[in-house]
Amino acid sequence: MTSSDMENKSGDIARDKDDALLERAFEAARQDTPVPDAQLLRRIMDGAEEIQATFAPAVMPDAFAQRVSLGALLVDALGGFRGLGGLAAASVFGLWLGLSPALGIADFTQAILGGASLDATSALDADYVYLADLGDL
Amino acid sequence: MALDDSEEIGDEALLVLFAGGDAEAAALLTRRFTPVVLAHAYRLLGDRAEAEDIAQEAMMKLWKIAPEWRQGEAKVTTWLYRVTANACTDRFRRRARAAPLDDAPEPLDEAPGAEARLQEASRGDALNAALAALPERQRQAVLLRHIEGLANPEIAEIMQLSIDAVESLTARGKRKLADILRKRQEELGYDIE
Repeated sequence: MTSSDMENKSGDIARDKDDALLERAFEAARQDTPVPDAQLLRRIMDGAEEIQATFAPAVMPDAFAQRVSLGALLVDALGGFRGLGGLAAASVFGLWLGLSPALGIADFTQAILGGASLDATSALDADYVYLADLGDL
Repeated sequence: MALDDSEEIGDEALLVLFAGGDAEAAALLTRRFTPVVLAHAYRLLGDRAEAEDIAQEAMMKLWKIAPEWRQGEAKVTTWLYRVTANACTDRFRRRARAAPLDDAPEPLDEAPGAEARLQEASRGDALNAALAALPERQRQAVLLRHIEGLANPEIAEIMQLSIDAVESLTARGKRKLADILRKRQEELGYDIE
């Protein structure tokens, strides 16, 4: 065995001794675990009750705040109040379009159904004469 | 609400119940976590009365955070160990301000009077006295690894360090602890052959 091997071996032995020493100390410390007494547990429970009492009233304002913030989020998504104004104007115009009589549709219906008024056909005839005069037809 | 099989109920589920106003959940959480935070604070500070104050403070913080607890992000114990250690660090700073050590290279890391306490320590609290001689972060890493029995990744999360840094702290802490204990081996009656 070389001197280097002997040094390594004595180093290993020293480390093993240290590990054993530490393990005994750690075990002693694990055994020396403090146990909370009733007074400490009571103090901590009192704190828990005190904090829990603050939870219930806090629920309503939080829920209200959440609703408010959801509303604000919707307004933002539509481009803010200016965007909402535009949306309202567009809605009113759409409603007016929907409710107003469909004038062009009436003429078209009459033409299809062969009604008395054939203004649209007459207009086409006029165009035909005009185009024939120009030599296009 | 009757919480049968309380051992089966997870920590986070109990926190949800607590936040909903359940008094029994409060009692179960108190019984489950007070011993953990008290022991950790006691081992870090070496003082029972101060450790009780820290335990109460840490549990108060748990009650307050319960309604905002983010499920699945961290273990409740991990969070409590961190809160406890931070509260202990504040105590160390207050102690250091109360009794400044002009000639100490790391005044916040070294517990004042550690050597003197070591002289008077009995075998029962020899390790606590030896631990008190370690720099604060080394002491915490050694405690969490070798006495609380936590794995390095969890210790890294508690101490907000890398796993390599935890391993390094633990190794240096153990070497220093072994040096101190070796010197007192005979006196303490440790016969290691």
